[in-house]
Amino acid sequence: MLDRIKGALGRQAGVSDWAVRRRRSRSVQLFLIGRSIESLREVETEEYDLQVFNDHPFPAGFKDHGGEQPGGDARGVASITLVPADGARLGDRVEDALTMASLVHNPPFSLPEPGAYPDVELADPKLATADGSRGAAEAFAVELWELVEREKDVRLSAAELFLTITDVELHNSRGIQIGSSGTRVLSEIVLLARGSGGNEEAEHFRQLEARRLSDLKLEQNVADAARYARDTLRARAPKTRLGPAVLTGEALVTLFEAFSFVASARAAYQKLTSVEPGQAVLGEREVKGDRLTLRSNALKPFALGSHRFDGDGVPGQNVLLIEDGVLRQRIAGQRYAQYLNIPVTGEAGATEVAAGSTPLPALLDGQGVLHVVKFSSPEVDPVTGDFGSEIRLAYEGKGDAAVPIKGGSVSGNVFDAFADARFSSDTTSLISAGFSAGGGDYFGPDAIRFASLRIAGED
Amino acid sequence: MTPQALPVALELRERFAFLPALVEEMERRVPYASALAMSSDGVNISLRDGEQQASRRDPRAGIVLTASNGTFLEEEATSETTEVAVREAAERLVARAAARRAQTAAGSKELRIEPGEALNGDFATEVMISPASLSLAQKLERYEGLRQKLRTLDPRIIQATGRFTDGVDTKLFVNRSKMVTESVARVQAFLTVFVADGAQRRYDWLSVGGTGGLERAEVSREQLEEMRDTALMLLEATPVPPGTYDVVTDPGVTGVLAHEAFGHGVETDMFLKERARGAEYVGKRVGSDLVTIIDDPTVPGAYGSYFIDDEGQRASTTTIIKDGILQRGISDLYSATQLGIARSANGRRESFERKAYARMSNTFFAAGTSTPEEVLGSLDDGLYLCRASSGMEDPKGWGIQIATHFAREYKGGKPTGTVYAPIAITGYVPDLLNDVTMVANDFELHPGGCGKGWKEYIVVADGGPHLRTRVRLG
Repeated sequence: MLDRIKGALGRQAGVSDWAVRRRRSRSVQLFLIGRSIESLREVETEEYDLQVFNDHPFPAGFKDHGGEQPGGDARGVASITLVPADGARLGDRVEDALTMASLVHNPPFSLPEPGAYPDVELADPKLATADGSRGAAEAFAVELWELVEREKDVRLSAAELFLTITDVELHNSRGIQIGSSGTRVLSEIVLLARGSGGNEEAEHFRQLEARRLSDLKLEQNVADAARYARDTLRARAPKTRLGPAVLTGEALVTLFEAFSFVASARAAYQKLTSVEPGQAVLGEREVKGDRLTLRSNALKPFALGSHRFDGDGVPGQNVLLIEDGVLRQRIAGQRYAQYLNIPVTGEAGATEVAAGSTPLPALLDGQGVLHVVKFSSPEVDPVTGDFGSEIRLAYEGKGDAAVPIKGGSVSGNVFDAFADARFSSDTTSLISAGFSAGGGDYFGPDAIRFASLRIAGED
Repeated sequence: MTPQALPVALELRERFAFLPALVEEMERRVPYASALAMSSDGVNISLRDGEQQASRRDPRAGIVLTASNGTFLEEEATSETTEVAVREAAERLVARAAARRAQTAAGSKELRIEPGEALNGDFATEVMISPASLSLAQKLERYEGLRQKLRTLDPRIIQATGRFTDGVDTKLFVNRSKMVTESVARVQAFLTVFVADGAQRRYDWLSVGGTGGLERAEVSREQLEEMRDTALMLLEATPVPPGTYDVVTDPGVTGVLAHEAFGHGVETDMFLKERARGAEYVGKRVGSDLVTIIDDPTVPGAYGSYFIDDEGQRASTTTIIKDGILQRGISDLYSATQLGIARSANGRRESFERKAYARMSNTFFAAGTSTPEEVLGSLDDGLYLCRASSGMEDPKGWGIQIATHFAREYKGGKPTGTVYAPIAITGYVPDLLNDVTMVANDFELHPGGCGKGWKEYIVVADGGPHLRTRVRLG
């Protein structure tokens, strides 16, 4: 079908440029309830993402993002996804796309030319075949049941496993013809803990994602989830206060979305961030603690955000975005790099943050430090930097004396919070479902202590 | 069959005429089989300063075949929908399920899936102003004109964006007792305005939409001006002092409260997984007498409406809580079968690529008897919570998280002019519902999306009236 699409594009007068990306996926999906299988699914899909470009004069009165009448031709672009059922009417579909492209107007930008594409490891060889994936799914269930069995006072509520292999092939009118193959493993695990009295129960939910099954770190995650479920049983609400808080792992990483946004060329072009390269990402705030250094790395082996090439065909790169709190470079796809006249980096890769110098136990020193390990739904408003979430599990105190906390919320502003923050020297790698930047990968400090966040709980 | 259902239904029935026979053939080797074909079509338009984009909606076209192996459900899904390809998928599925059935130990509990009442019909949304009545050029002119109206309302506006979607989701479901098609037309307009005051940026948004035609996505000048005023007002907003407050929720916040508290909390797959405390409270009090919560996919024009769910069940109203007493949950086929409860029409999929779960449709608090003015006027010292932006459920712990864009302070029943933003609502669901002391007689449903955990996104609506309760804010 790919050749037929390219043929239809070639026959259509008025197509100034085009790009087509074929995605073929095969997925094995397993669903467990307790020690039983609820469902087993196999899915095969084939889709073609087609972009059609049409260059034409700007209409009278058209203003660019700066409010000026642009010179030269406008670039119209239309995107359509084709499926096998479209095969009988490809000509009509391409014509429809061209009509759409001829009606929308954008400042001109060019498509990438062929480049040097890095070899990045993206696929788990164990999942290369359907039989391999089926076997892996069955082995996952057995291992999970065994791991949960070992845990005291805990049972499996439910689990899901998606094992997907996707082959991507990108062609464009500028001569790019490239491909890559990647795997994705997604798992949800829900553990239930029962109190000694037998009446109270608590759950702990984890969504894990990786490219390789082994990177799910199942044994560690089951052990942690079991401990957190048991601790949730005896958790109490925090006291309302303004005070220090240490955010760890999943509870931490979402905050970095605000900095990815600040570094985004798209956000800059749309005037949604005012920080320029060379300026401090925290603006005029006085920085008392560690300063942020953040990279976007599309070349990290087996990271979900890694890629040989991005959606436009730009080779993957490892880019320093923020160094010691100063914006060094923007993450810029083909289009916005040209609009802002800055280097093209391609789409974001995995988020890498430089560690600090303070061990985690030292971050927890002092009275009234809240150590959050799980939020219900950590959310950051990247435009304002405001964030807040319900506490699903936190601790006050250290070691065996730590008291579990649940309920209430922690909130603040990312930019204010990072002005007085200390990063742990301990590092972690994780993929968080709530973290949208760079595929959700995070490699960096395991914890950060913020001097003052708003904690809402019992009055 | 309505006249609007006719063309789509005929096309689906002709194209997939082989499915009833195929399902019959599958059921010679497995105890239950069904087939679901799904697809979408339509247009997305995205507009902002100096940029325009038009795209075809993701067609998500494919077919999913379901078979019971006597113990659990197995499925095969494919985007290749020719008869040859579907028959090959069916053969793979049945061979797998039959082999597993043969290995099942004698005496194992049999999964008995009932096909439901006989149904042979075709359904379609009523559309007053068809999106097809406007050319793409006319739509672009209309929407860009709307965006420009918003963009030029104030010099402090730095950006205005618009996303406009219209399209049709079609479905054909076949099992041994049903052959049914539906064609649901949906439209949505989503506008955002950004304002700046030096380095500070704030924004507000408006989302309108529903099932039907362009009449469901009308935006008035007053709504645009309200967005501008809210965004500018937020430049002066300060964080809310953490604490517990008497509050009045606007219909959007009320809706997210219903959705998170006793929407997700009564999805019966969560009962089966022992993840929902609500399972132990059916027939018991969970809120004040004023609390009635309903899930209803039959609301005309609502964004989350449909005619049949993705497992062939005819849409109908489910009263979840009546006068404070939990009545029942909302179900998918598998969990209803395993729990031995009556099905509701809530078996929904993100797409043919995904499994069906128990999911919401239009979920809302029923209206009460007070006027909104009376409810707001009763706030002696409290906050009016406005514009829900997100929520998260905790059905096991009965915790809740709702983020709202801002809150207005009220004293003596009147606004003081003080505005707080943003707002995080947390609390214990039964406390929150027991503290409902006033419910207004107004009613709105808002379009939205819903995930299960962090995935499985579907379209829904939620809403209700203004209501008064007490919550913890941070």
